[in-house]
Amino acid sequence: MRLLVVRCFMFVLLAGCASPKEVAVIIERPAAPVEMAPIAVEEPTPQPRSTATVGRFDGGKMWTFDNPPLDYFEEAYGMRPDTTWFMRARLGALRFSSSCSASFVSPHGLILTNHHCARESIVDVSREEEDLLEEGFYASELADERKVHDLYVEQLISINDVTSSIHSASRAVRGDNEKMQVRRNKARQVEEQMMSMAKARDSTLHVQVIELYNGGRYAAYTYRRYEDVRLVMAPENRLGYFGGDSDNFTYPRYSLDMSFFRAYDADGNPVTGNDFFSWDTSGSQEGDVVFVVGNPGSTNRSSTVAILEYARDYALPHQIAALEERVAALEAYLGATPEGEEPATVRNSLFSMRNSIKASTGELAGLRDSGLMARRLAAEENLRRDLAQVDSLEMEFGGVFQSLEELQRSRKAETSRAAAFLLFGSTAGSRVLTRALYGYYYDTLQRRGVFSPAELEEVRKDALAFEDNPPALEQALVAIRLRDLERALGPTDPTFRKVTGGLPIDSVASQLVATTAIADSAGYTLLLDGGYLSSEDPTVEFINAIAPLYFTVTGQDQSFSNREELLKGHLSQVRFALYGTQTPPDASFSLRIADGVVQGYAYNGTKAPPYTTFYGLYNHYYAYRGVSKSWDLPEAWLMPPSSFDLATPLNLVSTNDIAGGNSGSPLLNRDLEIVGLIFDGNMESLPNTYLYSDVAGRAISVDARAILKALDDIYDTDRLVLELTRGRLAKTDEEAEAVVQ
Amino acid sequence: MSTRPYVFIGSCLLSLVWLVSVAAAQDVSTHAGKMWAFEYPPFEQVQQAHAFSPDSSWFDNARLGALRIAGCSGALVSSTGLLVTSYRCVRRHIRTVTREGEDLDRDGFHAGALEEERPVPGVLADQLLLVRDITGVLDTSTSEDERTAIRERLKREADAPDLHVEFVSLYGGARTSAYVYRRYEDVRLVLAPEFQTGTYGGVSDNATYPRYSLDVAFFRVYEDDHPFETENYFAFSDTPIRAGEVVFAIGNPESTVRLETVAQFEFRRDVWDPIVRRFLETRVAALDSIPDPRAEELRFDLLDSAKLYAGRKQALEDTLILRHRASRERRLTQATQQADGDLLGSMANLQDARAALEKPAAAFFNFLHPRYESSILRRAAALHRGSEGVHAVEDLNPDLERALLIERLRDLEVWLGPGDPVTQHLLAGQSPEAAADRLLEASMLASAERMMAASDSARTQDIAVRAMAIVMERYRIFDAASGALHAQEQEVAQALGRLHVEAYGARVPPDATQTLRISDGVIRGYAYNGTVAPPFTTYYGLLDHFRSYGENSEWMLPSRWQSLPDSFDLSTPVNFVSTVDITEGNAGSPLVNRDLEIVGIAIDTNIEGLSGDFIYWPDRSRCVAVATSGILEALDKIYGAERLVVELQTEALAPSP
Repeated sequence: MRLLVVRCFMFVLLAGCASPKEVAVIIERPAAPVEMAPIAVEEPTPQPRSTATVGRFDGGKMWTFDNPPLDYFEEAYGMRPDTTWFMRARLGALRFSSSCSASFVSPHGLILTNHHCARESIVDVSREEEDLLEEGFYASELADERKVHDLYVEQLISINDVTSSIHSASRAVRGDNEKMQVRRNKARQVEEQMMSMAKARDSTLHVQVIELYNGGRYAAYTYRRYEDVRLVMAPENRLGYFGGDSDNFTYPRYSLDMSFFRAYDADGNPVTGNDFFSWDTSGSQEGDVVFVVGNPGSTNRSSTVAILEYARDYALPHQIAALEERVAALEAYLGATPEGEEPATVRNSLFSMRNSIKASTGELAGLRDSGLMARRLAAEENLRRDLAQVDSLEMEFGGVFQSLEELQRSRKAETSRAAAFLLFGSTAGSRVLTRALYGYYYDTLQRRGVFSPAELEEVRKDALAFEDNPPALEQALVAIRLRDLERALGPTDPTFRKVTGGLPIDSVASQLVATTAIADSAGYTLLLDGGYLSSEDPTVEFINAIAPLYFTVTGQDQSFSNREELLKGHLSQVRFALYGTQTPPDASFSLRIADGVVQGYAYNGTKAPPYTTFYGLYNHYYAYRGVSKSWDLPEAWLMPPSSFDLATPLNLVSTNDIAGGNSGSPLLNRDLEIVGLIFDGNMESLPNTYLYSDVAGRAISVDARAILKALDDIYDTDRLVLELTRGRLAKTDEEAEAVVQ
Repeated sequence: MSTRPYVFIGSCLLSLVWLVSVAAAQDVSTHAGKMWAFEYPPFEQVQQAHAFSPDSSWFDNARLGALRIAGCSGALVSSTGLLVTSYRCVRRHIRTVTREGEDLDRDGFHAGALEEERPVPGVLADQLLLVRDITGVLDTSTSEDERTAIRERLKREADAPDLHVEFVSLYGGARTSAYVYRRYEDVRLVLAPEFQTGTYGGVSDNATYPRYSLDVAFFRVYEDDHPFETENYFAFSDTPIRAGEVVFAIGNPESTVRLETVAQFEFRRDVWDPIVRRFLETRVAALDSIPDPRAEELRFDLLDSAKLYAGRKQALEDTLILRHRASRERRLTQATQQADGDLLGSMANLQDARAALEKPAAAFFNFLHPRYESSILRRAAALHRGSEGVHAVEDLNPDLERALLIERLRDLEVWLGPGDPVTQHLLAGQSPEAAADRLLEASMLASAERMMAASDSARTQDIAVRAMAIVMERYRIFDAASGALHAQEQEVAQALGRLHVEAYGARVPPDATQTLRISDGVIRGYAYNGTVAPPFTTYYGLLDHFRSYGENSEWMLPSRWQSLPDSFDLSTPVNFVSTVDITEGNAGSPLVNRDLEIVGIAIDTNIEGLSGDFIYWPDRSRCVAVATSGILEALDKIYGAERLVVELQTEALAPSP
């Protein structure tokens, strides 16, 4: 599940308010809203009917560990796990770096996660002349395991409720931005206090204060952090990402999206005696209950209908339209490029954008589904009714729905100019303009002198991270941005006229790209370090004209978001007061446990199977050969040994409630043994971000049996097989083989 | 692909109407599809789309190698009369040749020698020898004698007196064609796979892709008790299938209504299709778990049709399709004002009139249909009409008989209302169940045996016969009204058709009429399920499905497929998709390449293609076919059909060993 499809940057606002969001899992900047007519949909969107009934699990099943639904588990699965069970589930699971999940799978610190979570690590440990992403990696000896820079995993040790201290700090504060700011500061303060206390006990402990129920609750999560993590095994990218961007978010699927790491202690020895999940070599069956323990990134299930309508009618359609416009430009460029000469960076951007469109389209389909909206509306009506019954709540929060509706109206009205800046500063747009924006930002920060050198260096690194686009493509992308500006501001707007000088858009774009020095990354580095704004590059004039407007628009958007967060927090307080914790909080990239069942679903006019097999992998290889490289197989896979049983289940689907961030989560049976490895959700699960549904929404896992089979028969990783099946660590493959025999 | 089991006894409701939209010629021709008629060969269209210019002898050869088999299509594939078609097309007939102790559903059939090929009564094959546009020569006013004379003239022209001539209305009757067929009545079964393999994926996978079905069967045409010798056949291609290849489907699409007016479309959406869907739903439910082969077969077909009608429902509710029609119609309005009267208005009024007949139409849907009506009512109707055909009505399994009777009684009760004389007489205040039991108990028509034993006077006095008199009276009134509307609709349709032909000639193909058409296309995947569907599937996928869904599923494989010989190449393509335009009736059509070699046998559309009755979508409608490579691999390595493999390769019957 790759949710970070378009890399967008959250600019820290020049107007102050410099604290980044605590949780930066999904680093997508909220789409800048646009004041325009809603984009026409093909059908009139059906009016929600409040005759719908609220489903028991509309709010999802991402249960927190401090409040597991024991009665429900008993009723649904005939099991009432005790505290030891939950403790084992919690301690076996890991948070992997800043965007994924993982788990311990041996008592010697062996870690299982996805291949797509390990991509950066694999590249990081690649040596000269090595292409480990392409070729795969296996440390046949313990000593060959390669340390990954800056990689850490975290194990959740304890949870403390800190709501009251944070709420009491902000109670007397007026103003939405100020209130949010005080809370964030207080949260950071609590975090630091608890952190220093914890570190005094144990230097590996880290504390993070997590906002739940939109600020309705705050909890301090104490983690043990393992900072020496080494790569043990990764398959070839073609297996890890079989089906490529085309198959992303889809099922049936045939991907071996796995990788293994190992945690080492401070002395450089493999961790021992850690909690872990053992391997269920016989795997699951259709209908089995399975649990996902991991860190879902974010969901939108507490939004009101007004917020969702805004997303449905404005934010998502405009974001999709803006992406599609750029995709068309990239496609046109690639179409005109001779085969084999297409720059990889353009192709990658194209795939990312298509995937982003796919994800947004899937979510939008959910919002346009009248059933989903009707259920959300019904839930909201219930909440309004129940709220009205309690005078004290009514007094304090009675106006919250109204306020949220008004806020959405303001968003629509106040952000007409924002249309000009959709996707600005992201990988989806012109690199020249993005670099100009970064140059402006970096220079201005330096002049103000409020940032520390380290912080400035971060910005510089971000600025230099963008790869070059070919000039012809740049021209097209600059022209698109100019048209966005013209559309949003009007052709007679002074800013627009300043930018174009009254010349036709296409000639302005080609002139700019032809004369600027920053279309080229080397040229950009020179200008950035030499003082970009004082250079004579033609982009300086351009960015000076529009950057102030951009930052105003972004600032406005940020303050809308703050207010929305605050109001949603009020709503959560209401829900909390009325219903307690019976509905789990929205995802927050913190540890959750989600129950589900292995189950197929209706798809494509027929039924999707609960499992796929290696036969299907080969079917896809042969079926797409010559049409697309996305389903290519490496040489080693084309002649598998006769012991390799193609009927082995490869991927499976289950009804567990997951979100981006859950990638790499273990899929566990009722005895907490590994039966699978979560790596994606299907298309039908995309609307689950608004309302959980198990009609056709499914989590997709790599089957534990396939992992073992591939390790044993294709990759011949005796050490790993021994460790997974018997919990024994061998220093070399030879040693492992001897043990087995 | 389902065969469409609906015959509306009262009147044929499939009328064919076209719209003129001069400005949108391109739009019309795209969405009206590519089912080209042989009397108007698509020389230009094929040249434009594929840079390929077949001449008229190419089209003649294409026509002569393709055969029509009741409700389906097929192709000659050797000089010695070997005929290939779709398994689903002939499944029922295969059962009729089963002998004591055999289970051909389970085991399939393979004639190891020529002598073992089994005659299959009921399978007829028509070869289209001659097509002729006879517009102006023949119309509705032509007398029967004149028609006979035209027939004789055409037969003489084709130089074979035993031929069979059909007159076909195209473009709503604006054009008329004569089709001269030679009919082959001695058709013998050569090879059929197991039911599981021939319908792999069952009802679930029907009308879907990716697919892994060996939906194919071989017959041989005989003449004078000898294999039919012919030069008009298609050789099996031996080049591997590849995306981008140009292919042509040659077959007999049953019916489409792509150029009907908005009013007709809305009538289908709001009145007609709901009636059909309700019929299907009630019968599927009623036939559930009746342990009888005929009931199971019926239910299987009903479920297939239910899927088709679910697809049609989506298409009918697709506002984009409606918008296409509406925009054409706006332009048509101007054209018709210049022509004779408000044709569109007349058509709309006729639809309103038909809608007013909704209740009796629903009550009598498929009334007395040989497959869907209880035997007791069919006997009663036959006796009421004067006993003709009464003995041809066979007894059904008692549960099936009762279920069908109950459902008809319920139709009458629901649609005509409890106060209607028909309902009062038949149900007498009882539930349909109780009334059915009473009829089956009291009537001698409940079984053939009891009916035979009864005297003539007892028969005329029978409770069911007397009840039928009332029903038939009511039915006749409805039928007359419906028939009159139909005749008027045909007139308007013909006038609209004439406008259409004036505007486009044959550049837009006529709607399907269960006659031979040729459709061009390209082997190509499409966007599906968030990703892209591959151009073809392989036997690896067949095994993947078997293992993925588990035992006892619709993807169960027969035992011989579970332990494949080592030589069996799992990477062989089994099914593939192309952009040729097909519909019901095309099942079994050969898909040929430019050299008129067979690369596949059409079996179905994808789920997106279920809107094909109304519109053709170039980007997503696909024809699903069995690849000849997959067929050969299975014949050779699984079925041991060496004789057949040699015949397909040498294009002639292998000498006896």
